[in-house]
This record gives sequence, C-alpha cells and structure tokens, in this order.
Amino acid sequence: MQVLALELDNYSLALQPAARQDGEVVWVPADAFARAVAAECKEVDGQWAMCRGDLCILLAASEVQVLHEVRFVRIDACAAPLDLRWSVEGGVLSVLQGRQDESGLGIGQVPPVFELPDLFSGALVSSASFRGRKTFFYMWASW
Amino acid sequence: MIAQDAQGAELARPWVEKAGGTYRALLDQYNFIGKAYNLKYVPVGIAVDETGRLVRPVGSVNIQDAEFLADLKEWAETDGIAKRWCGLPGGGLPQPMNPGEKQADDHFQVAIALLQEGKKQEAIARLKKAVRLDPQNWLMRKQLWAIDAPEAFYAGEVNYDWQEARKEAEAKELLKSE
Repeated sequence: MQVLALELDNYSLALQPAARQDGEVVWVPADAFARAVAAECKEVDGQWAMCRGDLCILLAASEVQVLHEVRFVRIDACAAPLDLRWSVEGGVLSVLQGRQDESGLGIGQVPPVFELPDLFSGALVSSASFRGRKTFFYMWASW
Repeated sequence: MIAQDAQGAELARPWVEKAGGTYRALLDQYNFIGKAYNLKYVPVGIAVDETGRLVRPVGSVNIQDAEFLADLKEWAETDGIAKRWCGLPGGGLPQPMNPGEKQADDHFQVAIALLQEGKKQEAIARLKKAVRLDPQNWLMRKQLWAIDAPEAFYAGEVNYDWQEARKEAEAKELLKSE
C-alpha cells in the first residue's frame, strides 16, 4: 500500500488522511475527497453513495473499505459520473475536474483572471488580488 | 460589483452611491469579462473560495432571491456549498469568438469610442450593426436600447413592457434587414 499526494486541477491539496494505492487500485478517503470535488459521501437506502446534488452514485461493498476508522472509496467507482479524470504518476494522484470541455465553468475550476479599473478611482484591480478571501463577483449594469 | 456599462463610470457610479455599497466597485466598460468568459447577459455571479476556485458554476444570479442569499450566507460562514449550486450547469465557457462575434465586438468597441466623442447617432448605427451580427448578445443589445431610448431605462423604474415591444420590433426589422 503506497501513500499518494493529491493534485486537484493542478493545485496541490493535502487530504487527511492521504489517498493510497494498492496494486492497480486507488483508494481515496471518502469524506475528505468528496469535499474537495464538491460531492458528498453518504448512505442512501443503507448503501454508501457518492453524491453531488441530486446525482448519487451507489457504491458496491467491494468499492468501500474502512482503514483505521476512516472510510475509503475506490476512485474508479465514482470518478466518471462526477466528471473527474484521474491518473497516478510518481506517487501523485492527479485529478482534473471536467466540465470545461463542454459545459462551461463549474465548481472547483479556476476562472480566467481579469483586471478592471475601480469605478471611482480608476485604479486597476486584478481579480487575483482577492485570493486569500472568499469573494463574490457580481456583474450588473445600470441599464 | 462589476458594472457592465459601455457609457462609462459617470453613468454607473450613482447606482452604487445610492445603494450605499461598502464593497469594491469595478467598471467593465469594454465588455472584457463578457469576452473572456463568453457571457452575453447580466446579472452574473462568480463566487470563488480563498484559493480562487469556483464554489458555484459561473452563471445567472438573482441577488434579491431569498434562497440564493441564504446559500451565499451559508457558504460565507461555513464553507458549505449549497446543493442547489452543485446542480447548476456550468456557464461562461471561455472560447475564442467566432467571426460574427468578433465583428460584432469590433463595432461595439468603435461605438464606445464614438460615445466618448459625443457622436451618439454614429454610435447607435455601430451598435445596430453589432446586434445584427450577434443578436443573442444581450450585453450589446440592451445597451443599444439604453443609449437609443434612455427614457425607458433611466427615468424611474426600468420599463420592461417597452423592452418587450422593442424586442418584437427588432425581430421584424433590425435583425432581418441589412
């Protein structure tokens, strides 16, 4: 069993506990991984499932295991329905969230950075300057 | 707050002042975000976490909607992303403009320059060309209306009946004729 670091959309993300690889099979900690990809691991009718919104992917008993009191799920059991593409190389589990190819900017993606003048001072402000804070950009108009 | 106003800061400022907002107010006079994100309407919300990642698909928002405000507040206070947000389709697909959109944008940019020189009728002619080339771009189309008929936009309440009538008239004339 090998411990894997995680990169989500090319950003390093520390999962507690870490993902791990057992032969060809990659296991991710159910709750921590689900949070990272805007999903939720929960019981649906007595069966574990990975859910996002109304979409729940039911997991077979063989796709779930508990190690040291933490529930892990096989990444291949839920990746595709959650629009996740994944690969393992050099001890790093790389996960890319989908959507950008077909349906626009979804949860977890980093949208394009923009730089615009302040409405009152005219000073240029970069959207990246708000990093470190939760930010809600609201596009409105006078018309 | 990012004002999508081709007519410039002087027009947009009074709204922010009247609202007494304490948030940062920016101006996107040249449709920069519209082009970068391939968005053609307002209002749009872009919610990102501390690392700059989206917690809600880029798209339409109604900031007067109680459910939306509750979801926004919950996220701000707890990090929890509302289930309602997870189900939304992703919007604002960044992609190059097609030739029609590019030509429309060229006309739009010229129209802004003409407005700054006080050449309103020439600007309107350019905006009409832009709208013919990219009729689903409501950022351009409604600004054409607002510049052409400010009384329907800037005299008290926005007149939505007027907008419906204008839309029908354009379907018959502007969008069909050259």
